Amino acid sequence: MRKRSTGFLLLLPLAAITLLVLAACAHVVAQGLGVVPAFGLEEPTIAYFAAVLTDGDFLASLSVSLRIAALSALLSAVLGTALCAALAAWRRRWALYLVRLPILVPHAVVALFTITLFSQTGLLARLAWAMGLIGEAGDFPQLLYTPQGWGVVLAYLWKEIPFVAYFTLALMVSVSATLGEAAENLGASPLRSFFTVTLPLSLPAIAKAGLIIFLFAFGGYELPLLLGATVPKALPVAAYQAYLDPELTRRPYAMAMFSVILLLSVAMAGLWGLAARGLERRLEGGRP
Amino acid sequence: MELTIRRLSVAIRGEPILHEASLTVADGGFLSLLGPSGCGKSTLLKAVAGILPARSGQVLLGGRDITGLPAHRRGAVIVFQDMRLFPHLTAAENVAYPLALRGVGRRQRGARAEALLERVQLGGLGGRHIAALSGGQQQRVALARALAAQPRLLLLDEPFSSLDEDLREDMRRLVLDLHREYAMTTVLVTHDQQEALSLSGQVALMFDGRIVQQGTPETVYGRPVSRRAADYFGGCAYLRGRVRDGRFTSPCLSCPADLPAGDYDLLLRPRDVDPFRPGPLGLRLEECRFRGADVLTRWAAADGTAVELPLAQRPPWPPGHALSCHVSLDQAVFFPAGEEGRP
Repeated sequence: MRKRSTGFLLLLPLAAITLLVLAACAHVVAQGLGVVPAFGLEEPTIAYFAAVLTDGDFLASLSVSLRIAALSALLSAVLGTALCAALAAWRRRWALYLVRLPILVPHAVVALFTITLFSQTGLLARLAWAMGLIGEAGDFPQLLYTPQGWGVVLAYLWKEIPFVAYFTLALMVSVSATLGEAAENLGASPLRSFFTVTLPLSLPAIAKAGLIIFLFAFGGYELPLLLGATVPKALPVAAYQAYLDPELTRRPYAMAMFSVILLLSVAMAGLWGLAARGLERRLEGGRP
Repeated sequence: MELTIRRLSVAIRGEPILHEASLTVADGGFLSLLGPSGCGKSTLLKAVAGILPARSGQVLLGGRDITGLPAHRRGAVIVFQDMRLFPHLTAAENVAYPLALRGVGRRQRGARAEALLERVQLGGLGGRHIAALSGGQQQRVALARALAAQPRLLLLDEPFSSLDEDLREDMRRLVLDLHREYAMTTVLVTHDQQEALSLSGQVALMFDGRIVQQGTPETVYGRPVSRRAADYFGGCAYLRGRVRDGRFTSPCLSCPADLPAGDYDLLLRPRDVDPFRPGPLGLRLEECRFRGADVLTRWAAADGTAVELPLAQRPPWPPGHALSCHVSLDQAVFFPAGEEGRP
């Protein structure tokens, strides 16, 4: 009895924070539904949502954000897994430090050196020019500020490939040292053992890392602001600029946009969670 | 295939574990590698399988030096203590895994896996996932999977230690049957003396990363190379005495001994002493303890040495009763005195 109440007390701070977050989310959605008493708007309506969801600019922003998030998550997961496999096979302390470094660097700094590296007058362009690969700056492919969002994706990759590797490493090392070893002992080459045993059993961690990156890139603000196109803007950038609109009656539009980001993120996390549970059940053997 | 290990040394993270271990297992032979926990038995097995690199020495399989071969080309398959079954595959898929590696077609794989599962008494359970099997069933799947790899050398790393006693006996019988059936060269790592002595044709005794003795179970038990080797099997008593002019003399008894002069301990095991037959060894009964299958009797020799003898029934004598009993000394084992403290 006493133990239970202690646990409850210890959970109180978490409950308080959760309540605050939920209250803030409810506030955003309520304003998106047009309830802003301060501006004399009191009747809930889905008109703002309807307007936002049929707006071409909004849909373009949504598609840019989904694209950036999907590419960042997928490529980070694939390349991060490869990096993780390399680290698992070839463990060196300094390599681990090197992997941790990008995770610690702030996004604004990453944006800065993405520009220094990949802009048409950046280091890579100059190197290409010096090697005679391109004739002038304009020949270097335009990666930054484009609607395709490659600049943003590149910056996310630089930070998130190591994140996937770091996130997955512990599981992969333990799988590889036991079950991977058993597979090799049965006659599987190291490569075959990796693809038939170690990789499938590391998938849950890789998928979790991928989801974190997807949601982060989908809702991320700095990198699309600093490296993305002016038109269409990524969703968070567009929503924030709508929020800053001096015309206060437009506030519900911004809040409707934020609501969409929020609801989509929650929905995707939920779907992903279901899929991950199915995967884990398949990997660990569904109990009949 | 014949296994020969020559002066094999292995270190883990710079720390030497195995010191110039040598042993031989004949083609189709069954050797138990016996020793206390942590003495390096599993390390030896892993080095033979190529999972751990050898620091020096050689491993020869069928006369071929495989010391430099990677694990997957050695054909030395371990049944691990923790089984290491693949949790994302069914029992049948686990058994079929090494078959797929050898390029056996899908349909044949299924049939062969099912037959092997049948052989380890798991017929019909092939579709189960590993998590849905009991510990004993998992151990059988692990065994079937190892057999499916058609190993040139089968290495069993304490495969029964996680099982209940009755299951363990079943598994021992199964392993023995399979060994006879497949005539596969087999090494069993165990710290269970009875298991080692009763299962295999050869026993290698290992202490502190060194093989101290290899031979038939009878030799290793009956003619231990050191006092520590003798003590490892338990139930030992020692009579201290002196050898002079080819004769061992102690306060308790005297017998011929073909040894240089000096102080020696004579090894006494329960099977050497028979209190129901008259002989030269004076003993006084101290206590009897009923243990179910037998009665453990405790005696004191003339010099105070304690001797424990398990008897089938409670003896007819009261505590304090003294008698002179028979000792079989035709295979007497002596150790130089002072060896008891030695590693």
